[in-house]
Amino acid sequence: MTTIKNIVLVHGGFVDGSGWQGVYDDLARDGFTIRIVQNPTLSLDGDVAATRQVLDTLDGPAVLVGHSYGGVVISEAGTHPNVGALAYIAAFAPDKGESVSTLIADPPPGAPVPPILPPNNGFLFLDRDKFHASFAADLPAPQAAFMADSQVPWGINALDGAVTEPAWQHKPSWYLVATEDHMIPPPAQRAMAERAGATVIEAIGSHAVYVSQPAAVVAVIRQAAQGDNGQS
Amino acid sequence: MTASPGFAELLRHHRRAARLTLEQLADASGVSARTLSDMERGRSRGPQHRTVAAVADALALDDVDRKLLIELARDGRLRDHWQRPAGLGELPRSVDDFTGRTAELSWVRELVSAESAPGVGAVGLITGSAGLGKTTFAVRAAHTVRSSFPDGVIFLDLLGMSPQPLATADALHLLLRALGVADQQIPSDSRERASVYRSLLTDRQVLVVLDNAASEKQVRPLLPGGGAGRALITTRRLLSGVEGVRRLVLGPLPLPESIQLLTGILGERSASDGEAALTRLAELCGGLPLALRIIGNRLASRPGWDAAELAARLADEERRLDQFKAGDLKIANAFGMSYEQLADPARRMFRRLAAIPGADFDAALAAIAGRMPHEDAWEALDDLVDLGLLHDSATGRYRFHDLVRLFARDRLHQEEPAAERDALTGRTVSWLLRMATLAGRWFEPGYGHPDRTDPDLAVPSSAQEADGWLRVSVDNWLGALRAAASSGRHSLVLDCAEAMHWFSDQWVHGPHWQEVFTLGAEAAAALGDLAQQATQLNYLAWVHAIPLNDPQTALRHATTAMDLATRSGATAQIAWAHGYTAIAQRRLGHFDEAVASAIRAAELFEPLGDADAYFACLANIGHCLRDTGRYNQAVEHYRKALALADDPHSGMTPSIAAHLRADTLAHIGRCLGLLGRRREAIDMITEAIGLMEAFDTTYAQAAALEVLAAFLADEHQAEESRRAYVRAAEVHEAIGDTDAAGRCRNLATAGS
Repeated sequence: MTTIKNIVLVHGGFVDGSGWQGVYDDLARDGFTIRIVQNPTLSLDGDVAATRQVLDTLDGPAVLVGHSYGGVVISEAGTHPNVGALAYIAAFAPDKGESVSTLIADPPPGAPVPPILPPNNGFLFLDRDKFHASFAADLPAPQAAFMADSQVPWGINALDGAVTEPAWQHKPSWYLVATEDHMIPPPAQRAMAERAGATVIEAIGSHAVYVSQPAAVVAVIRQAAQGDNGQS
Repeated sequence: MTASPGFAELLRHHRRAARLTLEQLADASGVSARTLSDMERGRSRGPQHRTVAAVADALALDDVDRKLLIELARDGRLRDHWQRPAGLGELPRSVDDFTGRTAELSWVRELVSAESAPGVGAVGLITGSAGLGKTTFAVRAAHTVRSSFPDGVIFLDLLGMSPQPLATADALHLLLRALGVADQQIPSDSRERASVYRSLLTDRQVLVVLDNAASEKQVRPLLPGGGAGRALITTRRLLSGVEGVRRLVLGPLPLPESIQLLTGILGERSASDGEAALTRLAELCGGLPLALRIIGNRLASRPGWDAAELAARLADEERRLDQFKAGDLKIANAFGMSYEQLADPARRMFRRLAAIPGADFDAALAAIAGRMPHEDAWEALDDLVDLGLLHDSATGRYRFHDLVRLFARDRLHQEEPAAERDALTGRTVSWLLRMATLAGRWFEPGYGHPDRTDPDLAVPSSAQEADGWLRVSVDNWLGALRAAASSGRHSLVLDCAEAMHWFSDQWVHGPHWQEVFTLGAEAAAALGDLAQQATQLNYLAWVHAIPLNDPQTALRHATTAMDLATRSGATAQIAWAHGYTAIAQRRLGHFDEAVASAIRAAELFEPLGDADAYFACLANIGHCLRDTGRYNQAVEHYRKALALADDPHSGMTPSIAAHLRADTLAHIGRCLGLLGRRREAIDMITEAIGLMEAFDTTYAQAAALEVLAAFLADEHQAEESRRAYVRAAEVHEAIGDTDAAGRCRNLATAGS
């Protein structure tokens, strides 16, 4: 069993790669080589291409990490030969033919509905006033306000992009469930994780768990890098 | 006679004698008037050492008074602090100032009370890096859900971070004992243990807290199967290979809660430190409760120190060490702040304690490791407890948090030259083994209380004390035994193993006898002492024949022992080898071979004058004959044995003879009953039971009662029979055999 030395981080919708700073700092101190994909979130194909481009430059296997919509990207890009393991952070883990659009089409009754505004020229935004409560309730208000005001527009084509060959069918996967998530309901996260056969870990945190609790995210990534599936 | 005054009374007495008001004493000592008042009113029975020392100085007490005051405060602390759980598997007390983690506690509450599908929701796993307070949290959570578990909460430390994590078989043994199963009812096979454990957890509403798990392999057999039982695991790893577990990763404490915890530790002085300084300190502790506690204790124990200054120094340290690997950095910094302020002796003590092999230790062992007089050792330990670098317990034992221990070990390697470290290991190992040898010999006929001992040993004053020391210190002396074996100190190892011979009979189901006598046999072999090697191999044969119930292996050891004993002319060991062969053969159902070996052993023991062993052989022959239906011949041998036990000049050890006499009467009675002579049988067994009542309740007594009850029923003495069954059920219950107790209770009702 070889330990993986490379980590590739893929962000989700409405945000960019700078949210990974805390995770990056912790991983860097452990000596990992880290790449952060600045995926434009215009279309799934584009994001997958951006991720594969980063993976191509690596000299060995990586843990490919996705947050939220980033989970769709890693499910599709994760079949790349340089991917040794997958880590989903409060992320979508679609099956073959599924996309964010199909996965959120029928929310279970009573589930919180994310305050996504109607599409504007093919892009989605989150309601700025509700951003703190729905996306990042465990971050200080000023930080959440900054994230709300620096939102990245999320392309409809990215949401509609369907996975053709889910990487989690071929690679070991880990899943961090955020128990206080108001964007992707925790029961949906658990169901996707179980379907993927992932090792599931929970953290008390909002959808922005990758910003608010870097230590928890790093704990999962570190174990994925050790290939620690207990079968050895 | 009046009770001796407590700390509070004594303090008030001294203050009044000095004609000082609370305020004047506060001024003179630097300890606040409110704290002094709390101490005088008994609201703070165990004030910190530094505080008491400052008060004693201000009162200008003479040496005797000062010492008494400090000792009373220490007693108070020992009562107030972490309590080493008295009972097996008992849940430790939760800390009084537990802070935050509300959502995490609900997560656990929801999990353990969930009406979930089998296998799911039965097990929660708490993970996270060192110093996040996983154990403290699990203990707190277990207390909050305690009422949902009418059959109890069991706590077990799996020693996952130590070089010797608890073996699964030993963990199962402890868990089964905690669930009320008697030693002799616990299967020797690990897989059978696991199955008994699982079946018990199916029916019982028990929460098992498995603290500090090392690996999937260790913990998997300890999990409930899907019935009423629940488990909570803490571990630094995710244990991804364990199925059907819900995992929660514990994060750092958020800043407001960190400040709250710090403020709580500082008490009234926090106001004077100022919010800004405390916030800065809390930030520097990175939300790690352990770091917060250590830093808080450091401030609290030095009334004159400034929080802002401490924060500045901690920040400096962090910058200086920033290039190092992260991990436990913040914690090491916090420890470093406390370590640096200690006086030299306490620093020396602290780092040297890292060389002690076991999980906890007492002041006597600390004094040996620290190489200082007892009084100084106490003083140093007090300082370390004040600063939170050590935990103390009501029983006077101390232990490290495992991170603190790592830090101490690091200091030891940085600050003491190799020669000094070797000397430290050497004297600690030597002391532990000589202590264990001394304590073990208490149980050996012809030794008992020693006349003359090495002046550095803490001589036990009674057999009970020796027994207590050996049990509570087992991981220390066993660790020393391993260390001595690997460094070739064969005589020390052999002496210690030999001294355990009689004690092992007091603690038949101690889990480590196989290792002890294996090391003993190897030491004897290394010394070229064939007779001693044979002796140790015979002990190993005993371990396998009796507690481990593995007669094949027992037979193998006995055969080797016989060969070595024959070559070295050690007649007694030849006899023992025959004796153990007999026991093993009987367990294998080879009765004729067993009788032949027992006769051979008896023939050798008789002229040797070892009456206890001779008796055991006669009884064993009786058992073999009884088991094969030859009751008349069996009675003949039992009577021969009985005559030996009755004869005050036989040479048998009186206490052993008294026990065995009762057992033998019961055996004879049972054979007579099976021969149809039930009236005689009933009288004889009744006499035996009468004698047994004087001893500790045992399996023999329960078995005798059950046989008696059956014979009484055959004689149509229904009421007497019923009473005997009821009593048998009680005894079975007392020794933990609930199945047998149930059987006897049913028979009692069936007959009436």
